[in-house]
Amino acid sequence: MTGRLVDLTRFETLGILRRRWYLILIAIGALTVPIAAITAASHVAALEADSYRASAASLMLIGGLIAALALGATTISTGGASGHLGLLVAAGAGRTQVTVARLVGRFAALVVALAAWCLALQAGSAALGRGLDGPLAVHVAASLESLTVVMLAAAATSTVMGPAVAVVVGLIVHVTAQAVVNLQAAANLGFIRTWDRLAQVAYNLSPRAVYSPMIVDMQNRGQGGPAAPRFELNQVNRGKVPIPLEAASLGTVLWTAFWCALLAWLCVLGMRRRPL
Amino acid sequence: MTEPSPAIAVEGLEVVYQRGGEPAVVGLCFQVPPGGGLLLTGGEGAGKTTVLRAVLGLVPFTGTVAVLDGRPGDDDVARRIGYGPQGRRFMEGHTARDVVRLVAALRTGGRAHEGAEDALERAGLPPSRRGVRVLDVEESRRVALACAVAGDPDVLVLDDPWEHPETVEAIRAARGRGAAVLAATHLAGGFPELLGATLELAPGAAS
Repeated sequence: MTGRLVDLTRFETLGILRRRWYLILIAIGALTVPIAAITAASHVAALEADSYRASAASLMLIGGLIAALALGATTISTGGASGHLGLLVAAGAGRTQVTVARLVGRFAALVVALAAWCLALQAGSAALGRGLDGPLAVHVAASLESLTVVMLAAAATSTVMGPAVAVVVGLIVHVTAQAVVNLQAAANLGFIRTWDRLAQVAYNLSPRAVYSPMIVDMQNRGQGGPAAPRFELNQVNRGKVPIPLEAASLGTVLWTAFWCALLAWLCVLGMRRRPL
Repeated sequence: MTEPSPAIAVEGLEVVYQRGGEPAVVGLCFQVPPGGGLLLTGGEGAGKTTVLRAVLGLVPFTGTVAVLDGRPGDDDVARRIGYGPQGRRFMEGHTARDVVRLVAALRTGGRAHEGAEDALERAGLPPSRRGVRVLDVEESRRVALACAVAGDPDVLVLDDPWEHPETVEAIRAARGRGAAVLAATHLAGGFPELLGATLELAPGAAS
């Protein structure tokens, strides 16, 4: 049983790691790093780190989202339609085993993509004379958890819908996860009044984005770049009021990990009676 | 002397993909004895692939389907069935060798890679093409055949097989050693004679 799962996982992981679109995505992401470094070097010393980290955050957000959505949305539906999953199940692999192998393979692919970009970013940081960037590494880890939720939401959807719908669901989860964290911060300050309770309920139920200390610090200072703009609310008579955000607590990290487990379980459930 | 039980026995098979939708197959009955063969023919949408998938336990169905005295999809039954899927996308970017090795490993319960090279040889795929990830349609059909024959299973299920000499030989050899063969194609060619029995399907019904 375990041997089969190991065989399947190795097979699925290698299969996704060799995909051309995936390798091209990693290469394009890595190629943006020298551009980020050159752009950062053109700033005055005080803004160099912010500029470089803001570019890194953009890479994690855009590149990471593309990877997570593409990996998640193709987990089950495309393999089911092509006959690939049917071949494996007909050969004696359990549906749960196949699903777990697909999910592990895709999670591994997401880890490899982010790790490759993180390595490139650390090399860029060293080239700028700033040495290795610890807060940036923590930001990559935080992004990995946020993106894993998106990927698994798309994967769970892919058991019953096509890839286009799975991508949309993944995006909705991404936006929702950020919105509940932002709204909770505003509610804590009493800025959304009658909606405070609703924001609290949504925060307690929904998966949450995992904000790193690095990105929150930059965001609050308005230096997060396009990936993490300052969070502001329009207030009557007061105009735009900046809302300070906080880095994810351990509770948020665990809650989001719970959501990952829940979505993986939904994926297994969806696969059980799916025609292959 | 009692007759051996059929390798595949289907009675009143009905498959509906969407709740409340039209059935893809309705009221289908057939049997394939050990060493016997059956060709399912019919136009596009007649339900040929659906019947094969029901026999393999890949789609939910109503009615009775027994394969090797077991239920489709059961672990012990699945390992004794060799399946060659249709199309070319089933490889999903893997090499022919990797796909057939995994299928052989799954079927033989962990004796990884056993029989994979032999199956690829019997399917007529040249060694130079076995490590390639993008194959043409004909080569993909050979990989599907290799998946089906790896490990010499007791039942062969072939979806849209091409009439290569290797396919003909594989079917003859399988029947010769007592394995049942169930195939589906819209281009019958020489398959009716090779398999010995033919069942023509019409959309939504058996005829």
